Amino acid sequence: MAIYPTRDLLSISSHVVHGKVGNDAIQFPLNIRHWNVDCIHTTNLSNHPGYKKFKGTKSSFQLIQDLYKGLTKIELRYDAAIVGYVASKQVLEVIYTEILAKLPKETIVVMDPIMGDNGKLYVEEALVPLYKHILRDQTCEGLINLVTPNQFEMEILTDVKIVDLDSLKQAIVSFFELYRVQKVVITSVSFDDSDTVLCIGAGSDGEVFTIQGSRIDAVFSGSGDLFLGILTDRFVKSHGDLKESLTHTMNVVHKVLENTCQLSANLQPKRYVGDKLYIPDLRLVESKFFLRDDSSDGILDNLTTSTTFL
Amino acid sequence: MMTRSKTPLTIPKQADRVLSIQSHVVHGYVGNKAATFPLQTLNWDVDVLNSVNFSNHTGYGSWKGHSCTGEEIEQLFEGLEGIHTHYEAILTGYIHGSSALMCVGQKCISIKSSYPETLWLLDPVMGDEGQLYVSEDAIPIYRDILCCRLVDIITPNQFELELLLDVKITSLESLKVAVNLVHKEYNVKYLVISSLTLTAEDLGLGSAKKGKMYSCISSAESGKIVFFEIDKYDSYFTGVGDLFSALLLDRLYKTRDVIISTNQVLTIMSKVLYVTRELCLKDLGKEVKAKMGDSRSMKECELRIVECMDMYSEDDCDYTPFELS
Repeated sequence: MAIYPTRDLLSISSHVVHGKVGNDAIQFPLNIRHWNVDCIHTTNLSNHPGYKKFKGTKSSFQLIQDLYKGLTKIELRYDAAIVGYVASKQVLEVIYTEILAKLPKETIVVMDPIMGDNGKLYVEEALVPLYKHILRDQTCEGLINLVTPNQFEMEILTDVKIVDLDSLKQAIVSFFELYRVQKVVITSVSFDDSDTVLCIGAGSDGEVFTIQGSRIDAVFSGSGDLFLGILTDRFVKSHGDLKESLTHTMNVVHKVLENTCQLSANLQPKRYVGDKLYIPDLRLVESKFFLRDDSSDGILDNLTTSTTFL
Repeated sequence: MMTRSKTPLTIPKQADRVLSIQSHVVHGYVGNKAATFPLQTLNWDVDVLNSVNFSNHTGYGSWKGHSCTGEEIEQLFEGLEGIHTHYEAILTGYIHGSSALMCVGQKCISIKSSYPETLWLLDPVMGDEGQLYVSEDAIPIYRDILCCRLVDIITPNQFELELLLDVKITSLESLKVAVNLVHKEYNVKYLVISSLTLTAEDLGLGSAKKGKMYSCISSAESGKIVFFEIDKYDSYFTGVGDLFSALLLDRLYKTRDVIISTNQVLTIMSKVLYVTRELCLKDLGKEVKAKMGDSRSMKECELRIVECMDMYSEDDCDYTPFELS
């Protein structure tokens, strides 16, 4: 019987009783990848809003503060930390001043500045300047190792509208001028309605690369959180090799989404977002095989990569 | 270059769904944290409803967080009803406070009334070895829940069984009376007492054996009461009962044989405790001597739930069941 050593992760994101978003999309895949996942939940909801109705509460900033105080008291050290969905400015302030600022330098911090998607903001507006402030903060230099905005969030952060490769490059240049972050991944960029999806990785050293994968013709809840978890795992284990991490992550997420589609084929009633099938729940437990960290080593079947320097 | 690692031989089957209502701790493995991942590795889709939200378990001596009120829990249930979730099983463990416990009881009873085939395991977490660690109000609430005759499996320790029935168990005879009462009064299908305080001597097995204790299993259908002799484990390992009940629910759901199920789960528990103790020894460089309230040693004594991930599916039966007359 093989016993693998584990690493320790602090994950700050949402919790729902039913469904796989936020911490519930991060915990199982990372457990499978030999991480102890300490979850601070920013919400306690029955299900995610993709179902149109839900009940429950958002965690108050006092609760987040309290929970972290409790952890500090028993002297925990984390190899990595994830900041995912944050519901309010006050909570983000606590995470910034009382958690991130106090983590030791060697903790790898990955932040998904969750603000919106497809041109629509879905968090309170006051969060926007605070995310910008945190990423700009001198004291945070070297603390936040990787940021993972989507195309819309990258546009908000840089005030550059991304419509083609040139404006994309412009956004990346602005990003590193504005913010003291080592690396950024822009998740799912598309310029038109082509059937491919583009992920971009870039470093403050000027390296930029794109990875093109095939798009799955459906809309999922929680795929971004799954992406965030897998990317963090690989980023830590590869000692910051972003290109390798991103390739691996895109492969794994693709396989899980495919498997989810297959297992959701008989789901009734069918719902659509635009003309695309909407699948509210990722099938993570059933995708255990694809989530293992040795599952897709070397698989590059639907990805093409290219690297340039700015 | 294209390489391909091995792919699964079969398309994974749709997971079974379980609603698990227990405590949440950010750090460590008790309650839902001890139950969720092992169940997920066994192809259960776990809906995790947290009765408390603490930084760590209370054995550390310091902790922070929030206990959910009955109203908060009711809201979550209403949300789930609104989206029509359906469960093959329900697992209820530690629930803090009377209003929360009453709410969980009512809601689970209502699920069981609508879907009698849902398998409900209730672990009446109240205390151990004569010491109550919930409010006394919990006792009549647990009795009321059980009186609805809808709970399929209960996993009390001896002290909790005594509280539920308001009897003292001092001998094999009084144990048998208690076991029969549980089946008769509460219509419970499977009763698993993971640890008896009765000794070998009390049970008429000769002189008491050092470092051993007994588990007692009974199913209403067979009418048989069966025992296992197991190693005593140190009480500072927390979450043991929560992992036990989660694995037992899985095995009973799949086999409906309480003797084989318990045997398999006891075998896994013994391995998990062995790994936990060994890794602890490796990290500390010396034998574990956890002290309640000492955070360093409590941290080391957390169950190694992730390290043991490949064990939960094992079906070895290391123990020999026996009957007593």
